[in-house]
Amino acid sequence: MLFNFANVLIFLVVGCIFVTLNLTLSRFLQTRLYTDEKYLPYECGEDPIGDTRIKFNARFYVIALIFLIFDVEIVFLFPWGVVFREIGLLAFVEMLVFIAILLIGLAYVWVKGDLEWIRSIQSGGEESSQ
Amino acid sequence: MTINWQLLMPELIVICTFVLVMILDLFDSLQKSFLAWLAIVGAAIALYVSVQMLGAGTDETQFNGMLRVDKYSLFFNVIFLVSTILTVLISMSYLGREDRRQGEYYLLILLATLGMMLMAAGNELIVVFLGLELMSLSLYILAGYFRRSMASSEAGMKYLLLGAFASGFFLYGIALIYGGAGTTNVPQIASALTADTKPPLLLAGMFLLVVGFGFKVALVPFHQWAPDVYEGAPTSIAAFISAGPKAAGFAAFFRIFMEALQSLQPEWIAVVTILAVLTMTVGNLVAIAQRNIKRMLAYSSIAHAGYVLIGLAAANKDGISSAMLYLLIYCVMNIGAFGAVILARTEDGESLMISDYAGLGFRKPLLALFMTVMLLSLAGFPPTAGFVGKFYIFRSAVEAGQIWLVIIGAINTAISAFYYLRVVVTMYMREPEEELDFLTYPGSLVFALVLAAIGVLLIGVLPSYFLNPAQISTFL
Repeated sequence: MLFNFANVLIFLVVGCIFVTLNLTLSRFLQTRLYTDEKYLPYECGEDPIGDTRIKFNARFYVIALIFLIFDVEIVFLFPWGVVFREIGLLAFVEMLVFIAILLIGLAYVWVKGDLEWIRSIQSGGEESSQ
Repeated sequence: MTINWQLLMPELIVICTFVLVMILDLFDSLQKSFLAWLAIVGAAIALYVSVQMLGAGTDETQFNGMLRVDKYSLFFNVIFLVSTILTVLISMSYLGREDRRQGEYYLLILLATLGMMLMAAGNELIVVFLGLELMSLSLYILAGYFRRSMASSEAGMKYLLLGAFASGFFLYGIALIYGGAGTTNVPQIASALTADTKPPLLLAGMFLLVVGFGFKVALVPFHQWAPDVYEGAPTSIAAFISAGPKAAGFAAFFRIFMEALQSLQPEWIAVVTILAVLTMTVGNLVAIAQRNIKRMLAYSSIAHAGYVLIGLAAANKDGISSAMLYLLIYCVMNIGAFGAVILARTEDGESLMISDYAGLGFRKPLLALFMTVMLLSLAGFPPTAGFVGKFYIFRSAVEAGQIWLVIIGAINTAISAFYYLRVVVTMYMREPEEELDFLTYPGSLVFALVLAAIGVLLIGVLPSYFLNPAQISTFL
């Protein structure tokens, strides 16, 4: 049983050796020149503007989440398409239900106003009385 | 491949209710309290179906052995759905009429319930993990439901970070067990392992599972998140987290350890015994020092997890069935106690310090009486349900020869009586420091409290009606 993991172990050991060996070698072979530009974050050769630590709008995450849900839906649709003929009607109905639930989710997000980039205050869902 | 949809009725009803509440939440003209009642009706129908199926003695696996719908999972469904109904009932007045986001609150509670049901029915470690995540993700959001409150946000954040950490442990444990046994299916793991082969991978996986479950059900030394989360989260959610999810954690814990890892019993009994002793003792001793009633109830719920663990340490049929009964009793009485905390709310917010309850016995005699019943039940006094639960758990441990564990449990019960009775003494024997105006009794909350009180007294007086279903419902 444990022997089956031998190739994992070999992979691990070889990986560690490869990285340390190359890093050590380059340390001895390299020439070092320190200039101010080297301490700047790399931004495709442009001069950086402002600080790197900026706040991202939380709405990016909401959009990313919605994207992810439909991305996963596509992932599920592929295997469904492969076996669709064998299972028949049941598969069709099941996928309809699956997509319907996701569509309700989309409608929910839409009506709640999370798809609008600039949210109006009314749709923003007011706070509870705490 | 045929799917017996009838076996999945409780889960399907919860899903349908979820979708219906979600659609209706989009209509702003609708009263939000209607959604709460809809959630309650859905959960009640699922509860009814579960009880029917329990009576019929269903035992079948579904989806190629992924789910096992047996009396064990159905009994736990009853616990989860009772917790859900009580939680929604105590939430309605707590959130207030003007809260426009309420729909999402009930949605998440339903989703968490579904996760719990999957955990109890999970016959495959992956399904248990999926159920666990479905439940936990909903609870993280619910713990931070009051976005503008610092304490609530902190509770949500803390719960998310530590919960994610625990899920990592759990998943790694599953991976190692897969490495050791070559499968993640519970019965197949059991048959892949025989008593004389104990691969070290499997032992490591087992310990990681203990850590993962330990976090989720708040066993000492993995309990640190619980008091902070309970204190910061909305009180109704603190009640929910302390009841249903804890029962769900134990449901999966029992099934995986008693069935899949049966051959490792000597190893895990030692671990579970130590954890039970630590959990009971630390939970009760630290609860004495608490001044905030939500923190006190948090430590008390940690201690109660320790009592339940005695049932697993006994590792026999009686141990599991009495632990199941204990979880049912514990859910009812703990939600009842939190409900009383919500009801004892003053006009200017919540009264959460134990000293705030001074003189409550004269100002609100009924509320004080109700709180007394719940606290006596938590302390384990007869004729309440708490006594029955503890009695059967201790008896099963004696039968299994764990006398020392029972002695430590009994000492702990005595310690716990001190801090529960302190609240009772404060209510009846102290003069109030200042006059406080209490809110009037909201109907739904009173209804929930009356249900909880009836449940606690009924189980206390007629224990066999509830013990017998638990006894025939173990999977052993």
